[in-house]
Amino acid sequence: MSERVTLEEGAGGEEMINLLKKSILPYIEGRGGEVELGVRELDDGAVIKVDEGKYIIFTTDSHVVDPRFFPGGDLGKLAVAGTINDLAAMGGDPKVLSSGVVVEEGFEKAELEEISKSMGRTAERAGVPIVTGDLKVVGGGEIDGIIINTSGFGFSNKLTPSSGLKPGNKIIVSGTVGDHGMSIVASRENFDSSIKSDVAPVNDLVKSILEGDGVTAMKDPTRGGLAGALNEIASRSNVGVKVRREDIPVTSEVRAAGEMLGIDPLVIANEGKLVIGVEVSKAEEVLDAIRRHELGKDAEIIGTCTEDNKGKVILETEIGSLRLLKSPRRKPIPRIC
Amino acid sequence: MNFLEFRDQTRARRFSELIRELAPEEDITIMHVCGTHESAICEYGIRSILPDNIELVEGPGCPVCVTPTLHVDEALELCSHDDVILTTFGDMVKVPGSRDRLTEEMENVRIVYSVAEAVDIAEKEGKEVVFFGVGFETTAATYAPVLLEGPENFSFLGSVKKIPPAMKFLLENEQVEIDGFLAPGHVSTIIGSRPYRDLSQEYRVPIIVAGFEPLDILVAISELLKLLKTDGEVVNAYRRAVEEDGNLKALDMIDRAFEVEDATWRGIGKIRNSGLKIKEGRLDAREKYDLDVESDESNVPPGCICDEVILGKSKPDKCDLFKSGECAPQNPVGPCMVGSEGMCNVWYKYGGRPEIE
Amino acid sequence: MCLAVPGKILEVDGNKAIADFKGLRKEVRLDPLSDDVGEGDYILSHAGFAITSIPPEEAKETLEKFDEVLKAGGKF
Repeated sequence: MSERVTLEEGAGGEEMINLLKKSILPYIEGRGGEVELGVRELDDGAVIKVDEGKYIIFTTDSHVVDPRFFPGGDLGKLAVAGTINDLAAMGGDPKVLSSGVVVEEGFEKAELEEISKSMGRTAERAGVPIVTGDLKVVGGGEIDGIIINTSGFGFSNKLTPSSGLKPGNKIIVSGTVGDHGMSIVASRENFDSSIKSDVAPVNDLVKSILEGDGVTAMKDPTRGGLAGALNEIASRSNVGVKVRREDIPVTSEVRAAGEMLGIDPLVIANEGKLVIGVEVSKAEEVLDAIRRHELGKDAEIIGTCTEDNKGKVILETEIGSLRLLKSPRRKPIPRIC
Repeated sequence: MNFLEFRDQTRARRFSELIRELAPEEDITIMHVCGTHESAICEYGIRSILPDNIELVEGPGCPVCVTPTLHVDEALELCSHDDVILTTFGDMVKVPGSRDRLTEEMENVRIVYSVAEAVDIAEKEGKEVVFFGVGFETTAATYAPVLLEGPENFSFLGSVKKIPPAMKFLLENEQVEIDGFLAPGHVSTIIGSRPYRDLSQEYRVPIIVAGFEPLDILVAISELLKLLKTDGEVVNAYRRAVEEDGNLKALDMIDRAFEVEDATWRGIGKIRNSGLKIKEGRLDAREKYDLDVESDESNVPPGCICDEVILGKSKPDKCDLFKSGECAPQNPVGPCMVGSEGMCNVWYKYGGRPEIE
Repeated sequence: MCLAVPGKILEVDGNKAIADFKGLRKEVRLDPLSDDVGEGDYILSHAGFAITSIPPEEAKETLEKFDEVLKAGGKF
């Protein structure tokens, strides 16, 4: 491991986990108290037991995106939806958010206002208000534009951690994948396309899903994409996951952009989707519930959990062969070679 | 455009059965020399439907992987000039030089999708633009039109190679055992199927020009198996994009823009007449900036077996650095991990010939 | 090497064209092409340049060729 922090260590992969495990976690975990699910577990959020069957879910996230305004969204929308979705993915009903803004000297106030408007609109749409915040201005060049941290908490009486899958469970994805990641890359490459980010708060969708039962695990497939999320729940739950490429919904435009740029839609970020594990007897019912919701109309059952190949994700390709679907290790960059 | 996709399960299954029927008793090795073939092979799990005695290996078909350290050092040297914008394909990011790596976070580096974009930048922004161009004949065909009439403030740092000389080098090498080649489909779009005929006859191996859809690859493998016992033959199995004589206009432009020279392939060494050097001096970044860079060409870091992998003599999962994770896409040690289509890089992503229960 | 994608020409302007790549529109340079292409023709694009045109009959014949090979089987 290097002496100085590297960019790779922020990419969300193994390097980042190693850095956390070496330089941060050992000094903070458990100091001051213990909770049901804390930093050690590195899940989407922390779980604090309030009473029997009642929990608080608490999470935080810092947001930086380039470009700050992209088709379908912007940094503000992302910052609010991202934290709401982390809470929802753990089975939480998000209650309130905080917003910590660090902005660079010289940043255009008009842009700051646009971002704030977007944050307000998204909070309103989700019914989750921003109730407290902080603002810091740093000298020109000390950061690149703006960083927004959002934290939030919610209540839950039905936890859906990423470790909940059991063999035999079905895996559902709530809609098309690759939209957000591809919209970012396409706009950077000046592609004339109508690919839009899917960024949206999914707390309402989760509410409808959890009205019934049968859901064993949930994860929002953000950085690392569907592949990253599937690998995480497979290894946390210690099961094998087998999915069929044909069943995974991808819009034709995202597919086309992926083929042109050499980027796989399965490994890039989604900001308005969920991966859901569900008991096989309840799978169709849960699928119907998701599809009835506006944000879940393209949901599909994409695979199954198995006893064998524990911790691995197997993909059945379009031609019926099998291969591993691994978590990506690098930021997606277009390639031609 | 679905009529140009060839991925249906029914035919794939039938090809898989046909391949099993045609497969010989003994172990055989089929080599391809194209990173894009390796990606397609891994993405569609082709190896998982081949019988165990057929080995499909990637030779030196990843141009990024075989780019010598010197060229990366030269690119980095140019980055240090304040007034130069270094443009290159995304593939070149993270490629290690002797001391440093190219990254897109560097001030003067801009990733482009096409050399035409680099020329656009030169014309619109008026700054000095250098394009660091790697690739084989396919990409040379895109460089040539631009190099025949570039603007004053544009120049080219070339690392362009030819594939057939590398195939010859491999066939001449006694340590390398190849029973047949899948020839790269898009290189062949430019050079045609003709250049493989002499090689095929001299070394008595079948060479099949293959496309990139999964069925293209499967039909090419089955054609190759049929020809194993012959004295060598060339079959064009990618007729919709390849003609015997290739693309004559592109070949003519390449001939006018480049001259053939010897070239160094990282992990292999020098291969005669395998490089393409830009003819026009004023567009040659090496001349324009009088580049004279010291490079540490100690090609093979300790523990790295890329030199065996690239010749088809070993596999990534036999490498200690690969197994331990010391060599990985985000911190590549050897050339095969460096390029996004190097065998080690692709195996890391897709699992190679994965152990699936 | 090398990633190339098929596209359908929408409009031509000298040595450039706009092509539709499965729903995505992008500019492509036509310099390396020996034959002239027009609206409706298919080309193969690599790094922003058309490296060949794809005659639709050839493309349609591809499937027929696959089926021929499958039918002929191992015997010849």
